[in-house]
Amino acid sequence: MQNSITLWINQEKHQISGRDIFKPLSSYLREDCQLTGTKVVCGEGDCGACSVLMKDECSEQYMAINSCIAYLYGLHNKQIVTVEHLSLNPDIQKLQKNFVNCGASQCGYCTPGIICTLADLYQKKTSPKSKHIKNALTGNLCRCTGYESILEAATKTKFKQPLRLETVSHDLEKESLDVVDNQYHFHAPQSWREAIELKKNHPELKIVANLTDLGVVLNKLKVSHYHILSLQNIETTQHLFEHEGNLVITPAATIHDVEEYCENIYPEVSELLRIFASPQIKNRATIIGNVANGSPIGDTIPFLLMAKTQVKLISSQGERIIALEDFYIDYKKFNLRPDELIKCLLIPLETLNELSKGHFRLYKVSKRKDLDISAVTLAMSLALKNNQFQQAHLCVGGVGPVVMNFIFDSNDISEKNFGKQLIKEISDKTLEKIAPMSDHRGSAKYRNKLVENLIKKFFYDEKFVQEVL
Amino acid sequence: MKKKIFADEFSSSHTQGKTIYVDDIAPVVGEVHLYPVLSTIAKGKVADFDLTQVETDPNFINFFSAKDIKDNAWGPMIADQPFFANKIQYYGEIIGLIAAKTPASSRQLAKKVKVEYQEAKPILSIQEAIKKKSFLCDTISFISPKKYKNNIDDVGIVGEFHIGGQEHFYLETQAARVTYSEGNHLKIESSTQHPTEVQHICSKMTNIPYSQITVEVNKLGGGFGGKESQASHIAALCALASVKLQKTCRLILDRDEDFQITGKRHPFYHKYKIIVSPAGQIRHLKVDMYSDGGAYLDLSLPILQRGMFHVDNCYYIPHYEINGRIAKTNKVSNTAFRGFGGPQGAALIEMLMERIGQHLELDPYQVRQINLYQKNKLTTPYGQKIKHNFLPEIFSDLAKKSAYQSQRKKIKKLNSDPTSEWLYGMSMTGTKFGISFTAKFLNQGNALINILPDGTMQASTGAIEMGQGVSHKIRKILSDYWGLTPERIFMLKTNTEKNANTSATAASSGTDINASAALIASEKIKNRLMDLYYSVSLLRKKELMDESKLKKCPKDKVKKIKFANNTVQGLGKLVISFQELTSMAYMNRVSLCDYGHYKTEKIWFDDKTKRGNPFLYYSTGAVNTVVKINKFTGEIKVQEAKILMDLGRPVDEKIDRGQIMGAYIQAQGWVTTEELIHRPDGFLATHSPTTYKIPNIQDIPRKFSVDFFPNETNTANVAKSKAVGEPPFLLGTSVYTAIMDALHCGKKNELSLPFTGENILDHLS
Repeated sequence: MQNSITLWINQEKHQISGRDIFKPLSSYLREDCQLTGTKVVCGEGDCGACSVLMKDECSEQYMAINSCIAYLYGLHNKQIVTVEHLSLNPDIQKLQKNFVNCGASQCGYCTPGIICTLADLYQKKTSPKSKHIKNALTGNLCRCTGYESILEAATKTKFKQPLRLETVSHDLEKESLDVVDNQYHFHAPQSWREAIELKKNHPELKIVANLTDLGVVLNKLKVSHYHILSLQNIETTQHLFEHEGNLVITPAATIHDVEEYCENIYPEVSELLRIFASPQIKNRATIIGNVANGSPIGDTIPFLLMAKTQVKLISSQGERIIALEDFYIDYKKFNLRPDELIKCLLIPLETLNELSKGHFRLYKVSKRKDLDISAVTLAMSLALKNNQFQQAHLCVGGVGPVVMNFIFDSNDISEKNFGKQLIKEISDKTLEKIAPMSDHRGSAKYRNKLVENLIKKFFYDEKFVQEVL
Repeated sequence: MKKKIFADEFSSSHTQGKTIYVDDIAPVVGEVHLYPVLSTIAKGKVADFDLTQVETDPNFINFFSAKDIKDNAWGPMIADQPFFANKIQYYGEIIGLIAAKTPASSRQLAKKVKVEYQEAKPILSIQEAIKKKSFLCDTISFISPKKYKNNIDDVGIVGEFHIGGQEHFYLETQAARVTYSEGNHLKIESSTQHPTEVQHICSKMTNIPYSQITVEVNKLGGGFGGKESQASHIAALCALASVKLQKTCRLILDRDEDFQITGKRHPFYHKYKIIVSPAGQIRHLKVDMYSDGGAYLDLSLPILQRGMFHVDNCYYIPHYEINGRIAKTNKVSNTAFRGFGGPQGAALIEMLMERIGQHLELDPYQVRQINLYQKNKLTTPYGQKIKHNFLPEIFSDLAKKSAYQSQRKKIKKLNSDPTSEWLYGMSMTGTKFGISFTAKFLNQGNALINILPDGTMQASTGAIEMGQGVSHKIRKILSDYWGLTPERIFMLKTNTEKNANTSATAASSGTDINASAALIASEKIKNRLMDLYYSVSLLRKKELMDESKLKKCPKDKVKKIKFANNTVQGLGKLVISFQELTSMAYMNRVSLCDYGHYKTEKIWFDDKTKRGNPFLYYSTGAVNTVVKINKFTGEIKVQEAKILMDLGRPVDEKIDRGQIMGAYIQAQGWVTTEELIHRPDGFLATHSPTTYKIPNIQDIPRKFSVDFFPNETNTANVAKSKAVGEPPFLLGTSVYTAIMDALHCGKKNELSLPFTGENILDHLS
């Protein structure tokens, strides 16, 4: 058992123990290392000013992450590069020069984070186009420039070779972690066996992977003491893989992993994930984290329900598999015993293939198109028989205590032909079953209207109707 | 002449993370971290504090509240706000202050202070305030000398317009650090647009005279008006703790709290009647304008007044009755924000242009064109006659550049297609923004110029650099004036020891006022250097060892002397490098340093008659905006924004372009996605970027361009330039009116801003 963590900051080894590991990386950089180029603006991973680069043990490249919600105990064995070190790189200096020449930095507070985020992009693209740059910078807010000059500076910057950043070669520290400091207690076991043992003995344990959610909760001072079990160190060679007809999603699989996996096979999913969150969040946030959080507006859940995802649970009593639909009982209430952990998600490849070939759409509507929590998310698929309606499957988020899952077939719907009547029936049936609430993201009336319109949009997008009804 | 491009000294350090903002200053040993304790009710009284959970914490140092100060009142205009509230006026009002050993513990401990309240019912909207007659001032009126006479053909349009507030969302939150040192001296490092006010308010808090308080500002991570008056309160709390504890103290607000406790753009409520001719010509406008001042006065009075000054925007209004009043509500005290009330005034008339067009079935562009200030219609509702007016030219040039007529046809066709899920809208709107502080005394500035014997220069003014490029612009103006390469000019940190009695860097006037003062100081030194150069030229050799030979340069010779390429030349063949001349000056006891004071001339306003000449000049421009709306979801995308701006002779086009685009996008946020929503108990529910959505990079117009309208007539201002900070903000309103165009909702009497997806979908269904 080890009671300290090791990480590398700008190539320098840091061994940290005790209370200090319960700090966010941004505070450690600013307060303990005097690396004040990393700015903290929102403390909730929504603005990107605190972006730094991180390399984990299983990837070759660095990726941009939000350092404000990356607590140190989640960064064991990681390598971090900040803007100060990045500025020594001649390629980055070209980018910085273009920033100056294009007037892409006004007050300058967002700039270091943007430079770090773009460094991530330049590892993958030597001459990124406007679209790539926009997608890369979705999570970096700037209040001064109106972004156009940032876009110009980044478009101007082109390299012959993908950006290479130095790494330190080191041996991984593979012992389980157990760190205590007063009201804080952190475990990161190496095996499922250890993990389930801990959960059995401490059912109050909060389970985390990369802390994108808990990091925010902690920064908002909503909890003052905690006992955490991280699954980050449980060894799996791959974050997600195909096995026995299923896509297996492990607790380490990030949204970025899934987005990449889906990019060519299921572009619809990949597109939804594009507007789901910023690259910095997607590089850290896990799919299982989204599922286990159980928010009725969890953006991946409608898709996972639609794909007939199963949840594999593990405890000292063994494993069991349940449908994702049955995992949710009520608002943040789960079909999960106190001693159980989610081991993985299983998505049948067959349903994925059916969805991608058939009539299937994913929608998300929020106040701001990108990087915003949705007012409504809706997944819909339709099965046909002899070119007539057979079955509609809808999964709707943001309209009840959990993501709602409905299947309507000819027992529920009288109309068979595509047109106003069928749409109305499906939409009436759906509206009957949902009960959205009013909050700052939208009123109940608005959410109902959105659901109604998104159903219409589905028929329009799938070309069952030509006109906008 | 080819324009020189040189790098802004700051932006290079920004990209490397090297710029030092207040919280980046390395703490001294034993530095104290402060955090305010905030009320969790919107109205009532503090009955008692319970510190039992706090005092035992090893990180706790001290707790301060109203009982620790004698004179518990401050304010930028009148002292009506408490430093620590006993009688609570809004949710999140500062009621106490924790001093602790670490930044994290100061914030945690502040939340652990238990407060007992006596609660009262708050007023949370303008309408409620009107009903309960809760106001911060009496009604102010601009009434036209001639009354409108009824004409049977004229058309009247009545309605109500609700305009939402806006959070500044400067990226660097409010921050201050105060060092207490010997001689009862305070050194204050503050993220403020107004160091002089910080000095005054800290003096009020501590009872230490102004002379023993130094305020220094390196650089702000954004201000937008949010650090004009708001920074003083934070600095004063820091000063109090620093004096009481005799230690260096810092107070850095977390984003959530900064959002909840600092003032914002004023929401406005307009109740209006406009009368137009059948051709759409404005005959008469009556507006009852209410701004939501929040709990205290702050700067609400000049903000309301500027709202009234800009209700005409670019359009001539022959008869009018404009009444303005500030509602007092139990919300944060609203404050300056880019445009200072101007956008809320201009948004009304631009919205009305759209309504008039839709009512009379005229193209709103045509309505705007006939109402623009032109020819003999150049007098504003406050009696100022517009000089050098190019609004008609700007509008028609932009109409050509953006192919308005053919785009209009195209949009008509696209919108008639029932198989398209998109609805398009287009609108061309303008800006005419008055430049000068409306409080006359603020239109002054001073500068210090030190030339060193190695031929380099230090310049110091009261201007605060917050990203708007003011230090770069002043440097450029000095570089042109002195014929020196910019690298030789070093801009000093803004500090009240070098420049006292300064005005806030605000009202877009930073460059105008401070560069003018820098040139006045420069001129004094230049005159002495010309005497010296002239004296050398008489000697026919480059050395002047005997200062008794110094002579006054005659006027006809002065004209010939040129400062260029780091040299001084023009008399005969004598070329002396600037370095040589300055070193000579030093050896001969010629002063190389001077101070300049500038005040804006010819501006006045009579508060009794509500007429005058409040502005030195106007910055003008126009934009054509095209939007598309999804018929199913109400989501919008700005397709195109083409801007034409008259900034006289721009000091630096790159910087001005950045200001224009930044202002446009910031205003786009204001009219679309940025929404301040309060819970019934007065708590601001949208208080962080998760819930309050400012535009991100995906939201910018697909096509986005800025052109400059050439104009050499603005001799009233330094280097014939025009101010840029606020004027283009008013252009963002076009996103709102373009959406109106798409929705064709101009016949509705009640409209509200912003157009969120929800608001749009409401109009669609």
